[in-house]
Amino acid sequence: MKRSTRLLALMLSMLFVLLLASGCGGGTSGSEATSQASAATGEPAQNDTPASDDVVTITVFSPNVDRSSERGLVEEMLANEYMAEHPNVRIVSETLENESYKPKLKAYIASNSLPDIFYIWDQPTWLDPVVEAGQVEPLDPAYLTDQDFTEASWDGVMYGEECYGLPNQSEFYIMYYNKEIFADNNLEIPTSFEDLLAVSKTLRDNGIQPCAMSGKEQWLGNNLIWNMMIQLDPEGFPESREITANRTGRYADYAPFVDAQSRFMELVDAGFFHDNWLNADNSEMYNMFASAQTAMMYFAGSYGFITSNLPEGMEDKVGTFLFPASANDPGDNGDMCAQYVTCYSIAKGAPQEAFDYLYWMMEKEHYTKYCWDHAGQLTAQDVAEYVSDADKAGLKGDILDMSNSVNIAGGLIWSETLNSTFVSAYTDLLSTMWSGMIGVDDMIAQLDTVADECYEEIQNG
Amino acid sequence: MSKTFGNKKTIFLMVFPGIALILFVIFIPILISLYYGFTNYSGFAGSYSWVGLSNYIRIFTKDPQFWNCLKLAFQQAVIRVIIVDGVCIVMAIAIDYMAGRWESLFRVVFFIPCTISVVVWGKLFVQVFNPSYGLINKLLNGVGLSSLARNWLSDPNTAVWSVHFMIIWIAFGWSFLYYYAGVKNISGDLYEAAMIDGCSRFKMYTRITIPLLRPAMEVCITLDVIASLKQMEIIMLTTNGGPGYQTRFLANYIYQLAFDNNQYGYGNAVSVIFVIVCILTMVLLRRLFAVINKD
Amino acid sequence: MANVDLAQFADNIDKSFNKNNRDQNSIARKTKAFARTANIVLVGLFALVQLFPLVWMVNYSLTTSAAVYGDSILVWPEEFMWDNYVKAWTSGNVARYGLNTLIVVPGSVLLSLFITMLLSYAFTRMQWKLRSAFYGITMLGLMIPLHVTLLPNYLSFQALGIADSYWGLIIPYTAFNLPFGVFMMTSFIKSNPVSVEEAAIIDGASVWRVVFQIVAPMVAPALITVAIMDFLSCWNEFIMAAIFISKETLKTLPFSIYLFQGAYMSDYAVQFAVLTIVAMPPVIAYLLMSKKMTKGIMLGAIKE
Repeated sequence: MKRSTRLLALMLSMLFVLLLASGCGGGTSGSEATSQASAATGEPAQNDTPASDDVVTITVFSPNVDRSSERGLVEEMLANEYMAEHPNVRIVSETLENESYKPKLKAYIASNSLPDIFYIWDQPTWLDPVVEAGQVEPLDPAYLTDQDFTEASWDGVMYGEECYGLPNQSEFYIMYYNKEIFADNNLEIPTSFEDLLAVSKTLRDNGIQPCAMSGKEQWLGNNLIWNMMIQLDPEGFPESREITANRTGRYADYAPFVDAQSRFMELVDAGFFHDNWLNADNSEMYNMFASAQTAMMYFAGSYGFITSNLPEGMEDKVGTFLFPASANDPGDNGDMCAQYVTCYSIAKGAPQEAFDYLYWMMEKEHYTKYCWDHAGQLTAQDVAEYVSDADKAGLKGDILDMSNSVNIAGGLIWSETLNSTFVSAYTDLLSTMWSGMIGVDDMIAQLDTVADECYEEIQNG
Repeated sequence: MSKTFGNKKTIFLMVFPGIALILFVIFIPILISLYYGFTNYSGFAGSYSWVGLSNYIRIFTKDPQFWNCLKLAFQQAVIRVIIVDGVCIVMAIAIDYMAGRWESLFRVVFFIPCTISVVVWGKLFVQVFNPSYGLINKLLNGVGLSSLARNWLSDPNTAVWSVHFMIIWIAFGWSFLYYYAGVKNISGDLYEAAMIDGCSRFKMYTRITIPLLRPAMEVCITLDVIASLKQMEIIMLTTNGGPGYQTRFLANYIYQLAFDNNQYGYGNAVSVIFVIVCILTMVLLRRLFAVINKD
Repeated sequence: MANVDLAQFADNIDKSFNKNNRDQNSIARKTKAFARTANIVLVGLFALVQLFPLVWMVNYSLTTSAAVYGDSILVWPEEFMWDNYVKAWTSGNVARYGLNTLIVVPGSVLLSLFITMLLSYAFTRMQWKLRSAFYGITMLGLMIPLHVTLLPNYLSFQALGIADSYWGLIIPYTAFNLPFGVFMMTSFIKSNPVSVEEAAIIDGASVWRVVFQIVAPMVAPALITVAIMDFLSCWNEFIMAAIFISKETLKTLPFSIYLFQGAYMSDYAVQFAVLTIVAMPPVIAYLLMSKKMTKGIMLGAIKE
């Protein structure tokens, strides 16, 4: 009896404490803990003093969770610098890793409560509906006319005359290789697809897994297929977008599409990718390459990503080359798209300070310079003037060279031009085909059916 | 007596906080779900329209993926009831039989896996099933069965079974606890009486212990079936539903529809059907238990 | 003579029977000992396999990332990388997130237990018209796919101003804990004889006293089990936290794990270190509680 009374008393007192605690959460006290947290994250302290009238708080929402390296670090540094110059502005960042960033972004959109500045994909499946719902403020790129944005990077963010986002990234995909493994096996950098298959065979014969790849999510493989499709048809490849977006034809009748899919399967069948590639995520892929378990890796040209966790001495062993076209292809190795798929946008009703900060942040000498210096990544702006001689000599310079040899700037990958149902169905089909359950022709036939259905659905509103 | 137990004010005070919470957090969202199930709402801002029953028609006529998810769930449920419950009953009896130090050690140990985050399990299984470094293929190669070694999680012949295996592997803790409590709750007098009647130990277990575990079985089987229908995280962490959608469970599918595909309306229709399937299964199970108990 | 012979015979029979019996006993004892050992060995093997992930996780948290792709399933680190834990602790923001978890999780566990007790009692002993309807609604909660509730709840939490506060987690966690708890508790309460409660009421006790002073102690093992179940489900919950919490200062421990799960995070060893840090409190809490839990179960056994 006594014990249970005590239990009840304990429960009630806990409830009381909770009530108090929730008061704290509301922002009245707990300043000690808050400043502790900000010390750990380098994030500006919030809530510890009641906001006075002349301080404006801007929230920045991005998927760059790691605030101590790569783009997270850049966002952090620029925010701190800006706040130092503008004591009346407080910049607060909220981050979630990619998988949870998307549902959270949707929750914000559904409740019409987007954070002032947010990171979003400028694809029909993301930015378009938000713009249509009137939840994004138009921006004035005139502020940035002399900031050397790549012309093509504006495509995704322009809606008629209005601009709804500032592009922040240039994505292109290259091959990384381990110079030591190549030397040990007397291999040269492959200059054609046929060479690549030969290299792959030699490596397999010597018991080495040729190329690290992540196939758990299918977008990276799809990217490679896109790459090959352009090499197969450097003039006509936009047709694949037309076939997808407007169903102007069938994939089965567009030879470069069929050939690119078959070529990818040729790699799969040749054992080009590492054994577990179908279940590998990006970190597994990276670790396979970084720990010298594979001789190559296909991934985005990002120095920061590549060097973030390399074991000592490994950086000097990493070389790069462009994914090679076949000797008979009309296109060459440089025929691929640099994509500009992400941007920062501003939510409807955000304070003027958010605009000021974003325009300031996206100035070349801030965003692009910092991304290059601290994250080893390329933005949608020209980076040339910030590249030092030391940069040029190393891997960083190699990656930059690769980016300069990319022939085609901009353009959405074909599969993103219809809707997200289509994307899901397509990625499922890819995974089915890659695991050997269906052949290329079957896959493409089913894809045509899915595309027809999705297209019809859109037409019917 | 009935006055005290029927006091309206007491009942209201007792029930209100809980029911209010459940209505607010769980039931109302489901009603909203029901509503969105009749629309083509994308889950984004923006307009949407009433589409009547067309979402439901689509589920029943041209969504093979939905049926695959259901098939997986029921496969899982059956295997789970047979293996998990079987093993747990045996373990509960075995550990009870040990008595003493060993009993208290194992009793504690068996539940520990349940306290570990599913993230750890996911990573472990990815590692165990890895074709080049994984434990399973290494063992097979070690005993000269290299021909059986394969990429367990992406080979279409083994992916589904590997996933069932994983889920079952991490499902023992709770069931064990229920059965162990059940075994402990059986009065020693019954055993003594049986012993005097000259019953063998084996007979004792089949004639006394297992029938008396029936309430625990009902609970475990019910929970097993629900858990089978609601699998999600371990799939995201390992196969992500592949190859194709072979290993995608219903909850993953709903999540994908609502948050990746911009088909919130359709996703909600699927979840409404999901809830109905759950309810029907539960009703069926209860009927089944009632029939068995009558015999 | 005949008599003597007969007696002798009977004696002999008796003796031989006894001898036989003794032999049988020793055989039985031997088989019993063998069964006992075999039992312990077999169960022990199964237990080892079940505990393996824990060992594995701690093992890799002390090595380098590259070791994951080695030849053996467990590795003896050349050098114990305690640094991984330092990294995990600081860049995982464990101190801050842990504090929030220590408010949110016990909060919702206690609240869940309290409400579970009330609801279960009302569903088993109280007599009211809507009883089975509301029980049905509660059980429905078991079957709801959590993800369809995310958006509607986010909207309503925002409207009520509890999104982005401790209540924004305590309330949904509690609500989602209730169905399981009620499911278990009702059956436990039902299995107790109602006569004790009736006697107490006749003695003039209020229903509240009966619930908390008579029934609660009787179903203590079940309460502890429900508590552990609630604790575990809240401790590792991430998706609701990700949607309902935006402020850095309110995030909970699973955020630490997911800080290292991003596509560009490749430091496996640190990932394992943070997983170990987050996994330890539940294991320890369970080890502390397990004695009580089984004690309760034993008590229940004796009572019956």
